[in-house]
Amino acid sequence: MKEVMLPQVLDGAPLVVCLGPGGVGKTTLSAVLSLHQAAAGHRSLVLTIDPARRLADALGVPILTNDPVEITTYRKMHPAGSLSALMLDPTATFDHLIALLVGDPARRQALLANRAYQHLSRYLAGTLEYMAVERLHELTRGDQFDAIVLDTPPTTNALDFLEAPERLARFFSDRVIKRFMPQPAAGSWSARLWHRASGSVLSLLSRAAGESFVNDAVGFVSTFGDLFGHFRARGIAVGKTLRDPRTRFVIVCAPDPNRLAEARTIDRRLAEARCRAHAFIVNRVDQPFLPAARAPDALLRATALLGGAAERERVQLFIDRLEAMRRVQESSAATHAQAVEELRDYAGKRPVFVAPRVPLGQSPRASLLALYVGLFAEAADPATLREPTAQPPQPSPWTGVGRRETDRP
Amino acid sequence: MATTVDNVPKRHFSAMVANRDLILVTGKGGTGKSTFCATLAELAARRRGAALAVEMSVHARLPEMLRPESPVHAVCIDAEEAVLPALGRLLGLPTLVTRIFNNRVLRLFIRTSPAIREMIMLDELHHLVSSHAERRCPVIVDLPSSGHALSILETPLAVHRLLRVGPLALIAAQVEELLLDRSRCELVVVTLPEELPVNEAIEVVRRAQDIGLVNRTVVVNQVPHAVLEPEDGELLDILRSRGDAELGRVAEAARGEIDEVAQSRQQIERLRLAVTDRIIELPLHRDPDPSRCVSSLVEELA
Repeated sequence: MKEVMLPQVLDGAPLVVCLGPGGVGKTTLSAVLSLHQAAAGHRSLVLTIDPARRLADALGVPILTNDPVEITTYRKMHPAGSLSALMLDPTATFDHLIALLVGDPARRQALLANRAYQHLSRYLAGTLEYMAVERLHELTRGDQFDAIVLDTPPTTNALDFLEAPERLARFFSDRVIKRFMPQPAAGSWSARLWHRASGSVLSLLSRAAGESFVNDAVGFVSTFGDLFGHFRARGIAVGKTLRDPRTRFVIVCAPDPNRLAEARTIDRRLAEARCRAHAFIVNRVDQPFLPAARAPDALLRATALLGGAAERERVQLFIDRLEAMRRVQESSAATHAQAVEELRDYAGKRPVFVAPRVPLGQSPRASLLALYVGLFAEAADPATLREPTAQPPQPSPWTGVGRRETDRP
Repeated sequence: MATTVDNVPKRHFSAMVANRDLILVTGKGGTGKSTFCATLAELAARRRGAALAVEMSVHARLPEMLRPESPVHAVCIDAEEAVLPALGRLLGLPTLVTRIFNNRVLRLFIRTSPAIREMIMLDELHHLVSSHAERRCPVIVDLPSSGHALSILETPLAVHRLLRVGPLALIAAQVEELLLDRSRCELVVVTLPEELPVNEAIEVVRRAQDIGLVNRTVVVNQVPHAVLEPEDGELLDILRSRGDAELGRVAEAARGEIDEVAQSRQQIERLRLAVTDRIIELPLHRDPDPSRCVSSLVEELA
């Protein structure tokens, strides 16, 4: 059986979803996958939620926004395709949605002034997932891009995102919500029955949360009436896109037991959500830079080479430190190799790809390219891989790339 | 080679576990916040005889990090499980609650209204802290990763503004009082000496300050120590320039290590400039086994 390569996994996928535990380099990896899609001739977009200065730097743009920004830094690598990036801004997406759907200025004003709306859009957990669904729907439906790579939101559970569409659809189709919406034929037998049922739920909620909350919520729900149908339809549509057989799910993890355990949990929950992880990528894997068997000979050569350059004692101390460093790396590489093997056993027929650890000291662009070469070495043309001309470094230490600026009261 | 921790962190954490009733631990995913949470719980148990370690997640991870004979008791708060007792307390009607909880509609309402879910978790936490404080048993919480943790901690404030009266408003007020009690509560933000985790730590600190959480400690975990010295760079350049491919690779890798250590220092300096909180550095641990990692941290900090 021929081994499956990463380009084959991504080939022809209009949507690639990257899932994985936090802190494994998922965002940069998503950008690298998107770069590959562009190199394969697609109009590619990476949709991210991470306010990473480093990612913007790596892509060679000053800032990422809620609208796609075209990335030209690597254009020699994708002559036929294009690469864009977008950073999700939940508040902007929500406000945009309201402007789009509520035509009447007075109603729009009433909605924006409603406290329940303000808190829903700005404070409450979960909005990010809902808005990611909203944005994803727009982008998958539009014809601007044909290969989208989604870097999933950093929630405790990456799959909250996946469940958001269905939760939305279920919530807005539920009877209790319908009760708040325009009344069915009043006086009918069923309407009376429902009135009683929802009345008791409402009075219970009033008891728990206070009357003003319920009034606000009811006001919110009735003003929001038109939007429910919209949300529900989008929830269903995105659910369908996620389950499209051409959609690819890639689980990204790192070679340590905690992250591997999380990756397996994500995989199982993905299966429960009737989706399938097509491939795994283990990022930041240490590789031995000098095998133990070669070490004594190499270090002898190094000692000889340096003999004329520095005092003997200094050279000896240096060689000792090199050997100490080599040992640390060797044992860590062995642990990582074992972790990758364990994941391969778990993954069965699904491919597990390994991305080497890129030392942190490198520039953001050099790191992105190193990761690209590590994953797509065979597909890459070395001539196009030279690091693009560096721009002067951004002087400001992270000043907030804008995601939260509007969040504050 | 300085792989051990000096006395400042020891004193700091020993005072923390001795005095606080509630220690909240958060950080970007993958910074080792669960490991550090387990470490603090073990330290607290040594100091006070018992400790409760709480996590708010679907799958419990703390138990495997604690020693089998550990006096730390670990619990996992699941919003849907906690909803029954919480609603019972809220309404003072435990039996009615069982009946209404079977109402599919209400269950859906709870699942889809994030604020309610967060409030239920916070109320459960408040309840655990009150019941354990009588026995002088501190509660150490492994919060979700920073973004979600912040929205949980901001919920009482939001609920407070949204609701003025009613039992839910009362709970919000109680939880807020506990979180803002400077003698009882402390927030620990775990980070790594890397760009994104440091950004997140700065943001968490800023927002925690807005909420009014005054006791804060930032832990920089996994700080690499230099095996090579900066002046080794000269010798590495020579190795690299002599056309020996194998030695060239060695020199390249060694240069990567030196740069990485320098980069870490730079990130820690950036953090120190951005926040006024106490910042504590912990050395890199390469042991992949979580429980061994906790034990060695406990030994270093005890």
